Amino acid sequence: MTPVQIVILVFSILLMICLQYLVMNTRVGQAMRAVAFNQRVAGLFGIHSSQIFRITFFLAGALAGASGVLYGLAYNSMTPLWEMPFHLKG
Amino acid sequence: MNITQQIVNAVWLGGVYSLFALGYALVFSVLGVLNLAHSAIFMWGAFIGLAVVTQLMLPIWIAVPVAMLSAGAIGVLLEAVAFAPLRRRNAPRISQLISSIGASILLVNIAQIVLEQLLKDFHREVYLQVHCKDCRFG
Repeated sequence: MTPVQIVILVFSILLMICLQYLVMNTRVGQAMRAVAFNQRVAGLFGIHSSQIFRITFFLAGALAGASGVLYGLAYNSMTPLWEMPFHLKG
Repeated sequence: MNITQQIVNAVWLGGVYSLFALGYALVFSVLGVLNLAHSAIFMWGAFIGLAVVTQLMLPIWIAVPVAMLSAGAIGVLLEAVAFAPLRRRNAPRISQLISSIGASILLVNIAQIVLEQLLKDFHREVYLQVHCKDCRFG
């Protein structure tokens, strides 16, 4: 039980709570849920779906980047090809 | 003793996996497309974190937000290059999926080229693997 593992666990749980708050309690999250439910109706209500897609991709990329750093932090090594097992598990 | 350690290993690894899978689920639920380049973005996040720590000699709590922001920027770029043109042309979703496979191959190969360059800079004789035991990576 090294401190690095505890830090990784706490940080990932913190990020999950942040994401939960963002999707459930903010206007951006509400717009994201609306676009996910029905893109055309969300567009009728004045939500720019392309912007929501951009925000979604930014969030997904940020989460992936955070998990990449945490995973690299735990094993202290990386190669460009170790994304493949992660890809399959994801 | 040993079983406690195994439980801790499982829990933190599960945390990292779920963080990764949340990105997949987010994109899949909002766009309805499977983003197969997500793992390439994951790898780039780790790579940028490594570069910030080893090249710029910054501590890890600066490297994490930098890696998150730049991985998010790569995600936005990916959406603009690989997904938005197809969506604008009302292409079927399977073509967006194939486009993301191509983006994934491209990103991994760029990382391989850059990492080989980095190894030349370091004068280390490992093949493609960077071990940073002497740096402040945790």
